[in-house]
Amino acid sequence: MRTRGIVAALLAAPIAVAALAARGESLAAFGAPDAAAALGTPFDGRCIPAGCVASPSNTPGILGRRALPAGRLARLGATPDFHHELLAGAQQNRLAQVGADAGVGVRLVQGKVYVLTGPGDNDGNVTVQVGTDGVLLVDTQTAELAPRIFAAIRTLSLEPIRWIVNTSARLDHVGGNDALARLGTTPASIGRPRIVAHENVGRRLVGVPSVSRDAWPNDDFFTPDKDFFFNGEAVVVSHMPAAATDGDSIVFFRRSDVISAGDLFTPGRYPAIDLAAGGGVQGAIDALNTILHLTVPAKYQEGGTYVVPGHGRLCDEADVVEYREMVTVVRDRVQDLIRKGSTLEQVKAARPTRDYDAEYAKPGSPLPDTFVEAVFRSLKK
Amino acid sequence: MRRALLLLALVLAAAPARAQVDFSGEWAPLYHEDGPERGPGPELGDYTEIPINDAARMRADSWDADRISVVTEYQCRPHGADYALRGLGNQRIWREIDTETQRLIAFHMHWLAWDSERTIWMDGRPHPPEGAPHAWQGFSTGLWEGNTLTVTTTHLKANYLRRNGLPRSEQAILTEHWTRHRDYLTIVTVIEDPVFLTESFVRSDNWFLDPGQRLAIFGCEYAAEVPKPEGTVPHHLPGTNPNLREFSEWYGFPFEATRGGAETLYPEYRSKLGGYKPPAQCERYCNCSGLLTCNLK
Repeated sequence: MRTRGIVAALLAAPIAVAALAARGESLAAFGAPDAAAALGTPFDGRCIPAGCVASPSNTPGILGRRALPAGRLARLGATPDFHHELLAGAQQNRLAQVGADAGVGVRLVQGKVYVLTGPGDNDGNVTVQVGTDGVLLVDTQTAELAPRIFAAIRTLSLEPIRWIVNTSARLDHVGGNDALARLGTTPASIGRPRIVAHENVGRRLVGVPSVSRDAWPNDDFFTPDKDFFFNGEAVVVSHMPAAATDGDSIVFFRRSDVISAGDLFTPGRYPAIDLAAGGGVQGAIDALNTILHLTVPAKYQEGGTYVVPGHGRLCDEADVVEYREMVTVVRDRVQDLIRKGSTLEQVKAARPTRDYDAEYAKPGSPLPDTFVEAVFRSLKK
Repeated sequence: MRRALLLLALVLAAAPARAQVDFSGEWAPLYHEDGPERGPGPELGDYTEIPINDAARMRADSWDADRISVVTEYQCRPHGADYALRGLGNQRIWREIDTETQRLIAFHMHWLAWDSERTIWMDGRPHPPEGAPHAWQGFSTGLWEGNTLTVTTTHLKANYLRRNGLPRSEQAILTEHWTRHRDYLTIVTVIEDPVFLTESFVRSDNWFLDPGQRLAIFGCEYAAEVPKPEGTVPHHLPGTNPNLREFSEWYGFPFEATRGGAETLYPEYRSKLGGYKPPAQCERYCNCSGLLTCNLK
């Protein structure tokens, strides 16, 4: 009864979303017409604001940074207040408290999507979508954590778990499949949940002794995408070939505007590219570019589409841009060294990640040399 | 007697419980400090007087300004809370007061640059947990130290220390000290960044009260400006950036002095400049206190 009360209070709690009215006012280009007059030149609708870089371009045909012509400027829909609600809103505080009771971090992302984080630094994220149709999980962490994860889920919904999507065959993504499927089955359930994953996930799990047959995906797909409608929104599962492994997927909750990216995006950690499991650096970069293709930021590159990483904090497009930049730059550096004839040992000795190590070489995540070796071997294939 | 008690009660009721300066108003920036950097923009390869480490130096050497044109996600990226104070720094500050208790809940700031808005919470609320999203303006709380407001900001998104590629990480903590002297506002910022700085980086900025200021809308729309393969990230491979010596050559500095690091912050570093001879005549950024006075070449 107490749990129902908590759930009811959480579901009824209003989310402070600011009104997003466009102001619709005409733009004044920071006094640029006045500046042009002072210089004795005609004002052409452009200007270089003082807050921008005005450095020379070294790519032919590309101007240095400039403000856009006034006709192209637009007031974009703004959601800063919602973003800040994510930082420290009243509902987040309530969720944090119920999560603490379960020993699991609980955060509202937006819409119908939440993220659960295990107590350990290296525990992955579980994305949860709740509604009247039931509960959908993206990844399930480990069997050991399943009771805590389930307790946290029950603070969000009392409905049965009907869908589990695995973004990868890794044990910290599928380990809780069976336990959560059992725990999440209620008298109202119609059988066990569907467990969705790309067919390569199932192939990778065959022969893994710690994963029982009951934990295997029972609803796999071999096509580029699989979609279904659940809790009032389209859910699109897209395979990202040859990325971290050969079975990775991302999950896009279209109405909630949230992407669950699995281990294709792990802010603060180098990507765990497993060549033996069919992964490769170009696939990893392609996957990040696909995520960026789907995300649409709100006002000035903040908020809008949110991205739940496989490990690490809740992010938006700008954070994925930083990560894509890192992987791309390191790939280019290693490629350049290969072109110059460097061996793997010479590439490692050149330390092509040395300006990123303080940010991305975290305990429990791939070491710089491990990442560099994966990039090297990917490019040499 | 009753009148005296009533008067005393009124005086006590009107007196602030503790020092609370009101920073509300329209504030216009003064660019006399670091004018060239803040107006037209920093020179490429100018890392002087910033206590950066090797990682920051390498990241900045790799940076290519074309990234801002080619990568659409960069085109409308705003300054972070630390740099916003130095850019197009015209700002409006206003207070949020609890009408029931008359206690200060927050200062709000609106910047001309990117229409950025920032809140400094004054009601004692805690900073968000580690897993919370980060924001360009971060999450700020303030405390009074006498008449100075000390602001602590966490949860910043990764951004820049200078607009020439010198990075500032999302792990940085920004501390500000706000002081108002009648119609002037001074904010001293201290950035501590365990990823890119070897010691605290201190800067200051000033504004004057400008009641007639009316902030325009900044406005920005990202758009593909040149056809490029998706995922292109312009950058310079190690050792290939052709622009890094421009700054030292223009000003006659030893190249090593332009590479930054804690040592270059302190006066003792002058002894290492040895035979430095400044150019006979200033030709660049000679009297740069605004965009139109910088003698750009």
